[in-house]
Amino acid sequence: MLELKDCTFEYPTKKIFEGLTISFSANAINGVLGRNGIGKTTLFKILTNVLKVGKGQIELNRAPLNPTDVSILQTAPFFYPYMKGEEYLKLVLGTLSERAADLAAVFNLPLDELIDNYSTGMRKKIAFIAVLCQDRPVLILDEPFNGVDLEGNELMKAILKREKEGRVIICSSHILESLTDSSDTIHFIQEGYQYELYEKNNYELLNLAIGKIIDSKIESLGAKS
Amino acid sequence: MNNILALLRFRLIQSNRLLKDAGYVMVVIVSFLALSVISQGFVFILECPPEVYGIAAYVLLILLHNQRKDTVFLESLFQHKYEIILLYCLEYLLIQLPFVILFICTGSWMKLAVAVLSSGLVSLSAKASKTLFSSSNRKYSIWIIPLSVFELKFFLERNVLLIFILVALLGLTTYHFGFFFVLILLFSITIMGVFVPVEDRSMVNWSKYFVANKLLKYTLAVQVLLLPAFCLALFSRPDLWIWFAWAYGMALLNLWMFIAYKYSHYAPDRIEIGSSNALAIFVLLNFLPGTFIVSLIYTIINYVKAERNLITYYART
Repeated sequence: MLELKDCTFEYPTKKIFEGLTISFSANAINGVLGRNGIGKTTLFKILTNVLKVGKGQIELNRAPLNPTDVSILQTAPFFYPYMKGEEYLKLVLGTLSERAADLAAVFNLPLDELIDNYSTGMRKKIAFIAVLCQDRPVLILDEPFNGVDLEGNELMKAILKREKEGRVIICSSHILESLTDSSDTIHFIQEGYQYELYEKNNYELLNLAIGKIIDSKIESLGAKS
Repeated sequence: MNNILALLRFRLIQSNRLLKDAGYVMVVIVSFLALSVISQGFVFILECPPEVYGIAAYVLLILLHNQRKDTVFLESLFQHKYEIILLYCLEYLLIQLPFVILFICTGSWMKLAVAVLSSGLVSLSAKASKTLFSSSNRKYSIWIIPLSVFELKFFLERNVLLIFILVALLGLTTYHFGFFFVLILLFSITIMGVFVPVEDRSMVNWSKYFVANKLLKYTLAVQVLLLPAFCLALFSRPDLWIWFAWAYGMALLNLWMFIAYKYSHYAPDRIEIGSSNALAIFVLLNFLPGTFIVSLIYTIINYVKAERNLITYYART
């Protein structure tokens, strides 16, 4: 289990959260949902040690989290110019494993071509394969389904379900259907980093909660006009 | 360690592919044309004191480091911090390779040590400088730069470190004229980043001689930096006035070329304009005595095209 205990983080101009305690289960896909700018990516940057919390602890299985325990698929993955798919996987994984090659074949990725010539979805797919095959205990996926075709999306969900044993998988998305399809639980983050945890069997309640927020915003819009 | 070697090997492959893409023949021709300037540059570097080389190398490398997009990727790749520091150090030393070879061949051991030291210092202070000047964490508003030169204003507000470096280089010109050339080089690179051919149509007001006005506005605005630097360099070494005048003129030509290119290729309904490889070649030509006439003609053609291009869009809307 991955836990943030009483954590505080703020940018010079904006407080993101204070005294946050949140946990993500092992052997499960933990969905994270929240509006733009609420701080999902900030949370992921903290977990990968790019940003540091002001105070509080981050623990994986009751021991301090080591940044090298975490793999992250960023919203816009980074690739060096003039790099081929095969070279990228070799660089990230040390060697082109059979598993990575098989996954690339499943996703129809031409590994002998330059990544510069890949489409947005293809780039996401090869980065997904790389982080998955790193086999680290914590896997963070920041909007993995964006820009990926329908078949690719379904494949990613199926692969994640197969690969969740022994790992903590955290996945954010703005596509609710993709998140409810793939996740075992969903943390719905709202203002001030207040969150509600929804289990797979009560996702209807999540739909209702989102509906209520939308209704209240539309009502306030009507009242103003 | 394997990752470091793999990355360095990839850098070689990457350079080869880049040269192949640009065209080997073109690279040979440009290198041949640049020979006189390169040799003069080497003479300047050999003659300058080690501390001048050290400061210039540190400044340019720290700036380069702050523009790197792969820092998060590298942190996810390596198990230990020292591996990343070692990689940065080796990469920055490789960038200085032509000078390193020059220093070894001429027995300039002090400067060789300074080259190694500057690479090491940049690698060690890299993370701190990135945190300090990261634009994603804080937004500076620089009131002293007027909104009329908004492209430059917004660019510098996102890259505050550049202002510090440009001002520092201006100050250092009083110490050694070599910093003037570093400043001109940095200015030209900055301008390349400022005038990207993508802009919201609301920022173009379709007035008559829009491009000419912009050229004039920017030519005057950049004098705040260029003119004092030119005067300081001239004051320290009046005998080199022709080199300083040439560098000053080339900085302005670069500015005009980027503005003219931007608006000749400007299209509000296009998200991204294609390759600007041609522009990079013209920047190189700008720094070669004689061949700058080619880029001057190119700039004039682009200027005429730019005014016509904007009129065409104006007529369409």
